[in-house]
Amino acid sequence: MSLGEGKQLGMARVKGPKSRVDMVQAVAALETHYEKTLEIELYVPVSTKVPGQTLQRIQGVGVVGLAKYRF
Amino acid sequence: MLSGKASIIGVATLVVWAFVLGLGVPPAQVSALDLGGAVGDLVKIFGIGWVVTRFGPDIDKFINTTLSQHDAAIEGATKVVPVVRVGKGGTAVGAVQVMGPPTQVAKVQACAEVELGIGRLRGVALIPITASKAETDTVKGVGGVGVSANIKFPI
Repeated sequence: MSLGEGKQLGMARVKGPKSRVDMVQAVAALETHYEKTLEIELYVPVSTKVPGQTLQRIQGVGVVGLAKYRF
Repeated sequence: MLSGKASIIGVATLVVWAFVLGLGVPPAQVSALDLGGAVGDLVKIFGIGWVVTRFGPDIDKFINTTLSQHDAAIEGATKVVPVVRVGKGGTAVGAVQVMGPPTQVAKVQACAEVELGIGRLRGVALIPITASKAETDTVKGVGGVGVSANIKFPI
């Protein structure tokens, strides 16, 4: 989901200790640019489906798969 | 006398040509390395793998700083590695930042990408691996390591 909007963009598969993975409700995607040229999408596993402007990461959980629906 | 006159004409011609060429070819611009403007060219010339090796630590630091600004800093180690497609050799097609325990992250050399598609649903599996190539029978994931950022290169 996009940061601050709670709008679903796709799906992510996450991996980590079971207790941590169980806490994950969504993966927030934050887009930024490095030196104006490189587009970087940051993935933050969070415990809410509607993240605010700050994110509370579920530590120890990483993304291992991404899926998007092509319209 | 004639040879002296000829040499004067020769020198004059040379001076005129030098003047004309001087006007036609502007001096080369001198500028510091601007990664923003040059990274696209660097990718085309040297490939994504080289750019990741050269600028990976800087990109990694930038990502971690950005995450900290959003209270989403990663506990543990991080590293930027190239993405390689399974069965397509070692040619990098992108880069990702991986995260996890320091000992496990240190083992990661690349991230294997496997594309899956079911109807209109398109999926990508990202597997941190210990080799720089991803051959079908040798892909072995590194436990405890996941992807925390996807870096898209201009091609």
